[in-house]
Amino acid sequence: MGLMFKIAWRNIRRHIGKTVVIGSIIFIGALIMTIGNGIISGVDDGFQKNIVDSFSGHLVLVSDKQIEDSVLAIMNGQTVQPINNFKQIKNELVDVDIIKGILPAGVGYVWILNDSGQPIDQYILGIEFEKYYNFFNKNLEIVEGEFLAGDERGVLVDKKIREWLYDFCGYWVKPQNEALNLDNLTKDAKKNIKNLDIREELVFMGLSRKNSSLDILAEVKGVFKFKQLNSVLGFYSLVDIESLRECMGYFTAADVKSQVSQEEEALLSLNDDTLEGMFSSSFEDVSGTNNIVLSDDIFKVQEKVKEIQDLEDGVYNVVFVKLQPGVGLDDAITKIEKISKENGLGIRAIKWNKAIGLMGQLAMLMKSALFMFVAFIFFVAIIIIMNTLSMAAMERISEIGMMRAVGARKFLISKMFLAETFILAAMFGGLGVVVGAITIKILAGLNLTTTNEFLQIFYGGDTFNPLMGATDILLCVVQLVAVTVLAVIYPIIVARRITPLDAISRD
Amino acid sequence: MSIVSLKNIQKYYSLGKTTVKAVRGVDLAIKEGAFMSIVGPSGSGKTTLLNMIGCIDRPTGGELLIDGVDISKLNDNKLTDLRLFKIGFIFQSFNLIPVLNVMENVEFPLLLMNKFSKKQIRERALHMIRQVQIEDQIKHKPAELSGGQRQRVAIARALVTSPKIVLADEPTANLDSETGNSILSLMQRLNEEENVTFIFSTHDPEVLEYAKNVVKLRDGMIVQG
Repeated sequence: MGLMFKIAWRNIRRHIGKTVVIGSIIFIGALIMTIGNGIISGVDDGFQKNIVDSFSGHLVLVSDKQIEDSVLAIMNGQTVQPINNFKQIKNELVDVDIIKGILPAGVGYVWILNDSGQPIDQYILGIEFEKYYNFFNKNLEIVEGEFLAGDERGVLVDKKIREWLYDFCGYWVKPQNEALNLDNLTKDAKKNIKNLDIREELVFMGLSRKNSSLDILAEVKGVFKFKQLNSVLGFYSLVDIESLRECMGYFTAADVKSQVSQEEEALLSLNDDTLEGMFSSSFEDVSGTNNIVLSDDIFKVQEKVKEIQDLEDGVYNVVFVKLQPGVGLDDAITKIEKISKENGLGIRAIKWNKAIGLMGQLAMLMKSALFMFVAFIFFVAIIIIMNTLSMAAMERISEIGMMRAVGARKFLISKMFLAETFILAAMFGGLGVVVGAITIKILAGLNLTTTNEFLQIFYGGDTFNPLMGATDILLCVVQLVAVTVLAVIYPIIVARRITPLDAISRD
Repeated sequence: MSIVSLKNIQKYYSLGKTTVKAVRGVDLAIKEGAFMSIVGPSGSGKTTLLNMIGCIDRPTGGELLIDGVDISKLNDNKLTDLRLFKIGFIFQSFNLIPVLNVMENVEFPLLLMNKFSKKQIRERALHMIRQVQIEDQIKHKPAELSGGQRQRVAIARALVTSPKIVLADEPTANLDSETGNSILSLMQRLNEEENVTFIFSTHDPEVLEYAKNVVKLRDGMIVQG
């Protein structure tokens, strides 16, 4: 092998022109592949941190009656099928080794009623705020007001939605009991400051699957934004789960507890009249009056129930699932759906990129396009190197033929070509990988940010943050080796076909 | 015993619809230690015959035995090994490996044999280089040598493996007469000292003076020998 490397190395030095041509192609190919891999890796990492870890989890569980996958961004406004048995789901999944954690939530498609014009449609996410905040790595940032504390009821409005409401409805939303923060006003709102219509409550009308209209009046407790990708993800207002259930006409935890109380005729000492009053009044249509009607009796009942209710008894629409590191999504789906089938859970699992709808598809499309570009470069590099090496083989018929004549087997000729190509790949490709890795570091250091939604999806966050870790470098090396091997196969075949007779004929 | 035995050897080439009969039924037995010249005009089949004896071309028909081995039954690797261990080649145009120096070129077939230590390889190569009297150019690359010096290197490389047969296709064709004569004298000396069988082709009458046996070819057939 030493002799082969000696011959290979000296041939590389002897044919310096060819070496520079092939080396440059390998260098440029390796450079582009490295940068491409770094960008893909950064996008992946961005998706992981900013969407999977902070918004959707790896999987979203839904009722097996749910047809559409894009449950976190349903385009046609249909509500997501309810899940009535979260506790059972939790019991079956909580100890499954591949699952790191689960979090239930309600997803509602609502109208925000507007006394001065057309209602505006909107998504609301019903959550237990602290659990949600912690599950998704404290993904939110408060802009004004406070996050919901404990069992506090109310709504947190996304900063983007607030601006949108101002543009389309003409009012400015701010948290209750908070002074107007002038710094956060949009340009138009600042111009209109004297006549600014300020709202501290929003009326949501839930659009249930049966098109029944159920309203709630929600006090605005805060204005927030997602720490990353807010312009992409900020199409949700966050409400406490019980408010969402009321709005969407689902059983609340309080309802469930009340039923238990009826059956057991104990605990809360609620009489039939009170219960009847609660169900009828709490879902009363108030769109005409812009006021929610809740009797004192209902308040009393709710306060009592609140003390002992278990929120997980109520209805949800989705269950976010985070998986343990390294668990494949397809494997996890198979396992979860098997558990569901065996235990009659009535759920199915959706991958995060499908659950977030068009945005996920766009993200995957962009990533695929980038991958295709890298693959194209990979392919072009193979073709050019292969062609140049094949020509080099043909130009060395005398040398190769003579080697064969004096006793070199075809395998030795193959080794010689492999050695030459690998030396070139190691030198120029290695340089390409190093320069590519440095370029990635520089690009990441530039901290390029964008407010463009498409670019944000492409970046996987607000900031362009390509990555080059050890795994990425290893991937580049593997790709480089693959290019080298694929590029040298045909030239080796050409060289192996050269016979001593070819050498003599040429002479 | 014959080191090379040819029985009714034929070699035909197809050139489009025409078949060129390069060698037409040659019978020949070459004894070990021979110093044989194959002569004939251009196109008589000398080189083709040498190529077949050197196992770098296969006959179309007939039987060819090298040291008792029927080459028609050998695959490519076996033929390659036969060339490596039993045959040495001296080509008309020297054909050295351009990126290796004199010593490395001579060592090359020994390395391929994979049966000697580095020290043995070095010693054997050096011995052959001394035999052909080019030890002063040991570090020179082929491009830095004269034609005669290159041919000496080619002879050293051909003989370094102690082959039973050395084939030389017009070994003096590209050399001046003085150098050519010295090369032939060298081959003759090695033939006598090492008992190596030399078979060389030529159409130079001066070269014939060195040959112990002469085979004349014309139109692919032996006409004298």
